[in-house]
Amino acid sequence: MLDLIEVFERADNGLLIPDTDYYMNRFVPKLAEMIDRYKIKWDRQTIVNSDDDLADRVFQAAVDLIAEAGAYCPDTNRVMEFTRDEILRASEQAPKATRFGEGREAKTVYGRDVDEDSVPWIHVGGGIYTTDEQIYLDTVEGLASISIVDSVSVPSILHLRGKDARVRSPQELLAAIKTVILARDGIRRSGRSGLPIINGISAASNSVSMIAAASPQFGLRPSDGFLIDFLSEMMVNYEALQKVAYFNSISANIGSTSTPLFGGYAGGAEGVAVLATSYLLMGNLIYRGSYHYNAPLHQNLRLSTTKPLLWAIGMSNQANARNMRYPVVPAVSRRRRWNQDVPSRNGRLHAFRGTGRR
Amino acid sequence: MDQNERIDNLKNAMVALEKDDVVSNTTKCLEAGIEPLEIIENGLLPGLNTIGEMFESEEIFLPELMKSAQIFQGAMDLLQPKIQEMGTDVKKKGTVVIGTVKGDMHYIGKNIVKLLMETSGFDIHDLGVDVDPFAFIAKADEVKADMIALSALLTTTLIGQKDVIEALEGQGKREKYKVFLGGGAVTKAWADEIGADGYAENAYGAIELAKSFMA
Repeated sequence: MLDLIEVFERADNGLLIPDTDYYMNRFVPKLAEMIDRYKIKWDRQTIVNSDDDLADRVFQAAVDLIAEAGAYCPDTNRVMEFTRDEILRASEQAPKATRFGEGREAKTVYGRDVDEDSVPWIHVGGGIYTTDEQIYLDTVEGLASISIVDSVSVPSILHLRGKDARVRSPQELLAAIKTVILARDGIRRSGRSGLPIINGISAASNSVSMIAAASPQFGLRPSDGFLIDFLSEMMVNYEALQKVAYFNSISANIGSTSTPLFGGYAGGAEGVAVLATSYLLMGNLIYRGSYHYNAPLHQNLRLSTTKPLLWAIGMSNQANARNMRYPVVPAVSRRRRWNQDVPSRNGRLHAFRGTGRR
Repeated sequence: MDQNERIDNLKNAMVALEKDDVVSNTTKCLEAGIEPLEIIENGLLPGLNTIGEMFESEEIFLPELMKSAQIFQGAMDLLQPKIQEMGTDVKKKGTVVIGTVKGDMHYIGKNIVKLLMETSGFDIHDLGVDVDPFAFIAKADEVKADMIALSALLTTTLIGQKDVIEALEGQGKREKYKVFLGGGAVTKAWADEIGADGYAENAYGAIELAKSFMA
């Protein structure tokens, strides 16, 4: 695995080009080339892929996309370049299991194989925003009280003294801290105080707020999960790398997060499948992630359950399962917070397709 | 080959996103004596309209849309000098300043709106992301804009749209520009609350709104 400082230096020393050039002259043509090179094709009658060779080709296309287009750091206007060997070595060394939680709630989540029948990891919550502290506490306590739940995503509360905090404001930092304190208290009230929160820290829009709110006296622990996202598409900014630096320094679980946009630069189903897989690879290669939020989204509809998207998400998860087995949280639709992913090929719907619990 | 056939060939080349064919067909149209404005109005723009419809129906996506804009510009590079020789100009439907508001780094939706509006005949000035509210006003003043289009994806950055309207009011310029909003977190209720002139749920809505402002 590449040394982390070396990864950071790729953002400082790579090819210097404007972002428009990166998109139009590198990323977009290379993605099209990969789809063509590896004959990636969505059969419109299919939602669940059953072609293992196609899943493997999607993986190889994703590797080559990173190797030949690179990622882009908008803060330095430089391409972050990696060799094919570096990418493949990182994928071989990617975690296949991650430990979350404390005490009797401590469990290991494993990357699942395709069609695996083991009991999946059950995760609830997410995408909720409240202004009322009591509703917040009740919501978190309610989620944590579901006995089969292994982890939660907690809501955000950005209200401070009756007003929503502005992004990057000191009030936002305080609101992020409040979110964490309330979240931990809500979970404690459920009687499962060791239950992990794996969407840390939803209320923080920037690295300062996130790092501040992650301070242990407020309630989060390295055994929880901290989300670091890629900007769409293939953007790795200093904000993200600051979080990478900090959370690696405290050996916290990092959840690399990606939202490739259907209808955006990734194009349609084939592009989203390849790009989503590239993010899985980069989540480990660049962020040193412990798990990944694989969350492609429709550009206009702002949900993830259209037919081509379901195929693309399932395809990227299969590519990962067959070649890396990095623990994955599948896509989230706009309002429903459980697996919107495809049924497995044996016809059973898994609640959390990307991971298993043991 | 008559003039209509030549124009049709140009339109079809535009729809097929064949850059070389668009350039050669544009040249052939000029050589055949077809007026530049007619080439644009009956050849290129209908082709772009079809591309816009294909984008809306998800037959093509953002990369193809960007390519169509580049191909269109390639054709305009041939036509613009001819238009200027004639002492006329391509009439733009309106001038728009667009950007993502301060604190928000998201741009893909904004870029789609920008592209579709450009290819619909609007003159667009894109300020990028994380744009200071006064930068919107300064640019609008500079280019004598008709409209200011504000994008915000996040709930927490919506306030940036209100800031722009407040800044316009503070400078006594609110009535000078139509302000419309877009982005994932935006709703009509929010637009009404802050006194925006309109809200567009998607790129096509933005074009229709902009046209209605210019009507």
